[in-house]
Amino acid sequence: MTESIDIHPIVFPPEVLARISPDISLQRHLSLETRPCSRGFEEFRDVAINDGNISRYSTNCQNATTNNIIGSSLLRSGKTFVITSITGGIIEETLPANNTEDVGEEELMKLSEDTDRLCENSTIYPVVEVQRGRVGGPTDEEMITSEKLYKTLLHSGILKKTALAVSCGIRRTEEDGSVTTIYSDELLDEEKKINEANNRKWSYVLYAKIQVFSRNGPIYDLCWNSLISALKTVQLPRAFLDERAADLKIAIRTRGRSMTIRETYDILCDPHKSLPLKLNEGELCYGSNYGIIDIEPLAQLAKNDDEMDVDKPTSVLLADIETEAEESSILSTLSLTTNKNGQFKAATIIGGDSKITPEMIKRCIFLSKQRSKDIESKV
Amino acid sequence: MGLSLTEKSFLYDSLTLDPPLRPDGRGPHQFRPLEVSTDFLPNSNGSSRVILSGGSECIVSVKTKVVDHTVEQELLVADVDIQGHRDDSPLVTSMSSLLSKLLKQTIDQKKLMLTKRYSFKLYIDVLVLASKSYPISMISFAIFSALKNTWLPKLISNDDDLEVEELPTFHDYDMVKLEADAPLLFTFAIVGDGVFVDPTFEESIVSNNGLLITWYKDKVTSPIRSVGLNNDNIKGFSQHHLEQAFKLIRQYAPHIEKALDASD
Amino acid sequence: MSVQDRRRILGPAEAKPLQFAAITPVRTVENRDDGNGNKSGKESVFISTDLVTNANGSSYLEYMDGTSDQVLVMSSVFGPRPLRGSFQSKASVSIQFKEVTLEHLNTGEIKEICTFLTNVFNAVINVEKYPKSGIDIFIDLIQHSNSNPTEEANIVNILPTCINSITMALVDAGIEIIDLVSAGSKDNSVVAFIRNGHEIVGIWSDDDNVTDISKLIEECKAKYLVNKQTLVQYLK
Repeated sequence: MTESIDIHPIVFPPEVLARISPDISLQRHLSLETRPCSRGFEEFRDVAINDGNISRYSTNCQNATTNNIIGSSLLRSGKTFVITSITGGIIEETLPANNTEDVGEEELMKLSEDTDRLCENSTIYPVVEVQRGRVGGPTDEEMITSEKLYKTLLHSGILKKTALAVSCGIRRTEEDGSVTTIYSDELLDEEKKINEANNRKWSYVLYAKIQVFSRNGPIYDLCWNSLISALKTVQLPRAFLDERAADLKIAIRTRGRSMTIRETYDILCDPHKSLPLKLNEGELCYGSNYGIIDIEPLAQLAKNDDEMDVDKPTSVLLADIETEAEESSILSTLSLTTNKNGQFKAATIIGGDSKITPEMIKRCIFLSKQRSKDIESKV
Repeated sequence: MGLSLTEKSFLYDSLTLDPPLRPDGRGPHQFRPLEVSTDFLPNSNGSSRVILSGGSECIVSVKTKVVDHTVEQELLVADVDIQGHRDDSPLVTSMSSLLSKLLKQTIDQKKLMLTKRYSFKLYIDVLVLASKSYPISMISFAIFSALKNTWLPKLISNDDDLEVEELPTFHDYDMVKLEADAPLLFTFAIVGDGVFVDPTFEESIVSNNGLLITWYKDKVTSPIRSVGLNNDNIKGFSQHHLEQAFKLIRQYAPHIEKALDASD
Repeated sequence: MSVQDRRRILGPAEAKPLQFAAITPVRTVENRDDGNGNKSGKESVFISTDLVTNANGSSYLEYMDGTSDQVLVMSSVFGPRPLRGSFQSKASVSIQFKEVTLEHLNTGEIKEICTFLTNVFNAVINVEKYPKSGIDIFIDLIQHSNSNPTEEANIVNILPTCINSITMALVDAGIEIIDLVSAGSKDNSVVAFIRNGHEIVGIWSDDDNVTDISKLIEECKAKYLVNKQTLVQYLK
């Protein structure tokens, strides 16, 4: 005789279910017209942005003497927060030896530059780090995000090369020992000539260190928004050469110890004076992301019988993906970077298992414009 | 490599006896016998080798080079290499950072200046050939004796070159002794109520905590640190442990310094 | 010797970091006076836990000494989580220290801090309770307003806040510790205590003039008691 076997359904609390079976958890949430993060389908996380008082030019900065951070931002979106600090460097540009004399050469360079519009644009060197409780080299996500930030900024035209050119001043030491620094754009015309003799050219290089804490969803858009808001705070310190160094032609000695001589000619930055970084304001844009997922009829919670026949949409659009459940089960995603007028700088559409319809893309575009407007008002 | 639970418990019990009994019969203040030889590397300006009973061994070499100190401000570089540990292991990096900071603070950089523009730059390379116990004490002894026996070339050109870039010239074979005092570092193991200087590997394993105290120019100085001599037996200690360690060091460090000084 | 890092976008190799000219000494002296002469200003601490959601426990501490010194530290605790490899009868504790914004400490100093803190917390975490587990603690120094790459006192100024912050993160993570650790500092020395100051779990001194160790410990203990009281009040 066989005993009858009782089958007990296993019941998991929601947080355990979300962990062991994220797709079912998400589907159950969706059938209740909500999301695991308890937001509406097209609701974004709240965003707060400030400069975090990290940069030496922050209004409440107390360590301006030793701080070398020239722009910063602290972005909070839900529980996730991103700290971006921008530091700078100076690079001497290599100029052709016969800079002004060879007209033909110059024309040729102009021609080639016209065809290559990218070389007018400049970018920043970002390093993204996501805190994840492990040590070791950068993860794929960190590397991909850094690369994407780098490329997008380069192609966006937000940062032009001309904005990073150094207009170099000269520090004079008077006979009584007092030191003054003179910048060419503050000079009277007759004095300007002094500086023209000096035909070296420098430009600033910007580095961004982007740290993500409490990562809870895709990070690219957050990093981009944080980077843009940090760039808006950047102040480029005025740079100068010492008078003695500027007057001398660079006398490089060939025997071995030439280095020691050049070092003393290093360009220095003014600890007080700075100019804001000129960004192409019209091009500024902000990012947002979306996911599309099919509704699995089998995973729906049982409804009353009379509701069964109502035509339900087969897939839904979710804005601002958050939580592990959404991130791991939504394979069709869109990431859009635009300004409020719909001027797109970057768009990534990944067609996963769900069909992305033109209507959905239109909706995403509409939402991303709204979102961009919202973020812009907060930066 | 490790000890069994019974062995550990036996060792711990005998160290906490009154009076304590160390496995090699030493008193709490007694060092392991150590052998120091100096000037054995012909290519170095100064060298020393310290061998502790039990097979721990450490070699230090001091080399020098003339640099322009207006460009290169760092006149002391200390590098620590411990056999069996990676260069980026916490033990090696923290020890080498501690030592180089300490040497920079204590060694008078004016002694290295040749002219207004040029200085000697010292490279102190430490190689620990074999050590199971915390080696910093042995390293500091070796650095101490190496620096005491460092000979630098004798300058024969003028020492005031008015910042003109003129290379200093040296005597062909005459050397001058660098009279530099290096700090001595002492490690103490805290076991129960007792404090023991220069713990062996076995004593380190059973210790509740460790102390690192510096002795320089006849007084206790920084850095003073608590260091974990093992990873799984760490406990807090009390104020009297520290006082006891200070007492021991004040009483015996001058003797050790004298003994090391005499070893030429 | 150094291998080029191909996994990060590092920018052109020949670029030099911005070098700021020294500020005229007059200004610095004024600042220094504010920092040291007027130490009696109100010290204040802001504590918050559960800031980092993907860690088992976290804490964020803002310490202000009432003048200009400000230390912002965030700690997150990951674990206890399974360790691979051979059987371990006790938990292995690891502590990683990182500067989030400014980079003023060199790798050696960071390793020293990590080793020191690991030793302190090895004595305090009930490691027997967590066999086969790793407890990884990450400290992020967000800001230290008085930090100066040329000064020695940097580490001593941040250590007490780091220790307090780790303690709060461990409490938040629900990891068993034998007592709340906290630390007090005095003239370039930091001493970490437990059990109302009867037991010392760590001492870090960079003070060149240690004449009376007992006095130093008493002074640090007084500050420890204040700090500990703050932590207890937050937890109530």
